Amino acid sequence: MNTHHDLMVTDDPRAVLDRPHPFHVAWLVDGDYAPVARQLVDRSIAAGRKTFAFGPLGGADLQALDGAATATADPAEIGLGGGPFDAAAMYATFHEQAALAREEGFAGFTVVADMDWLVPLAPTTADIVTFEAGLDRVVADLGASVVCAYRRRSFDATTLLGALAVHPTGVTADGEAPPFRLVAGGPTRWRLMGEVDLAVHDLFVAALRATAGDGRDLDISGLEFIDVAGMRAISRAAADEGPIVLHGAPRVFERAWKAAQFDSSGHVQLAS
Amino acid sequence: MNLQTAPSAQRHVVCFYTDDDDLASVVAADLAERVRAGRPAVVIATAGHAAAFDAALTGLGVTDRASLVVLDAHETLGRIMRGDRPDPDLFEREVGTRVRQAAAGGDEVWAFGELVGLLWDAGNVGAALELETLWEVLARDVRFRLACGYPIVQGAGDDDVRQVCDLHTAVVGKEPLAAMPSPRPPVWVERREFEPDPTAPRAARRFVTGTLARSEPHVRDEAALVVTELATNAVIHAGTPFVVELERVDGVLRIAVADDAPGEPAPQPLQTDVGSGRGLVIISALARNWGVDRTATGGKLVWVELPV
Repeated sequence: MNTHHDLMVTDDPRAVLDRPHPFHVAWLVDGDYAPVARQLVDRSIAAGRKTFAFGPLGGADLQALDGAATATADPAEIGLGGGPFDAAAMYATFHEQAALAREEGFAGFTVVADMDWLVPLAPTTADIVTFEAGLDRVVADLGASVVCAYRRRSFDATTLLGALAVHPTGVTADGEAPPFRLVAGGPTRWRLMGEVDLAVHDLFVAALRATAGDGRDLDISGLEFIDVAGMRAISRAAADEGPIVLHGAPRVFERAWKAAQFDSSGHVQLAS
Repeated sequence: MNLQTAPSAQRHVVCFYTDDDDLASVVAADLAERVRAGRPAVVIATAGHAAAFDAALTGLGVTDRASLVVLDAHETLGRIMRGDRPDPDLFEREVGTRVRQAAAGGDEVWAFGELVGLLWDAGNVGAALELETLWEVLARDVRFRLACGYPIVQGAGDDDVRQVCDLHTAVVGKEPLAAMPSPRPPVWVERREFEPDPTAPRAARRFVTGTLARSEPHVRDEAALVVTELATNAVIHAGTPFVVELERVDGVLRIAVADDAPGEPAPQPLQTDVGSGRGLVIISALARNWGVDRTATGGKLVWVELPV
């Protein structure tokens, strides 16, 4: 079991059902999606929350949820208008729908998403990781619940690992835990935990990109290890995309950071 | 993979001396040979020692000194210090550029330096050792042999002298200790081989932190960073299987990573923009000492000593 945030290693997909609202879950799907998705939808409706079922247009699973969910939709249509993948447009759609749900008197807002809707748009792994990392902040701000179901047959292992890295909760039948997690924070906007090194460098860079322009306070007190390339990525992100404040930097991080003079221009602040 | 190193050329020697004539007698013969042959030489010496070398060269019949560059040690030291510590950028500006210019013709430069000796003589042993490290950093991409002049100081601690000796490949001149320190056998040695894939740095780190499970947290953290950098370099640049060896001896943790690829790692000079290659700069800051040797199979071995 991952010690930083929840990672449930189980082949029982019903584990996704037991999360208390609000939640943001990455569910790596090996078998059937629709039966569990239907239970999620039913529970959300019973709790008075406006419940969307997302999925690829014309998909059988999406059709199976039609009538149970408040609405079914392909995000490529309602969020992107059939255009290319655009994370900012998707976030805007979430905000709009959450506001509409409040006006309509719902108790909350839930999305159950079959992420196969992404497949025709062919986003890169980095696009998906950046999108999901940013979505975690959106979901946390809205107090919404979102389940992102990634089918193993549709996405490669690196993309799946990246998706797990940027969700606070993951459900997967195999044991590979992401070495690091970058998720929405509490007192700070973001939290970075775990270990960042060569094997996950590109995933880390993609996740870090999601923090751009969103109040880049990063709690790294739970960062167990970061290599020099990872430090350099933080320095570059701050120089290119706006200042970053690091909270709770481990002692060895601070010492190495200063020795390498990564931030002679002051874009990164190390706060106590 | 064999971690045994090939015999290294005496590229960085320390000359302990008691008086000016003593130093000149050790240095002048080599210097005269170089300058007479028109080969590049850089001397950073006190006015008194420069005068002694000048007299010695004259006595040896060396009149054409076109390939010789002489800098005043006190003046140069004043220009490279920031507070009570040498500044890497100032060192590069004042010393590095001179050595690079001398090496521009492709010949190995013969260098004599007293900057560290002056710091040593003033009791600033920490700064002296840092300056030695800056010379080592310069040596990664410029070919030169360096002789460092250290006065034998009354009251110098055995540990300080031993540290100075450890920074050099050979000691010439006066014996600084009644008996030179003999190496003690390591307390323990662990080694493991890894394949060059992206997960190898993490595996190497687990190996090291696991071995150091009962050590102080800061020792474990620094060792983790060092071995990860060395292992990452091995995966990216060498692309061969590599061996990590851990050795604990005499209050020092020695971490070595050996691969089968030729070439040497070179730390990049610090730049105002964010560049690459800062891993070795960080290692230089964390380490008591570090270096690169050739393995018996033609690869390279990078070793780092951390104080524990």
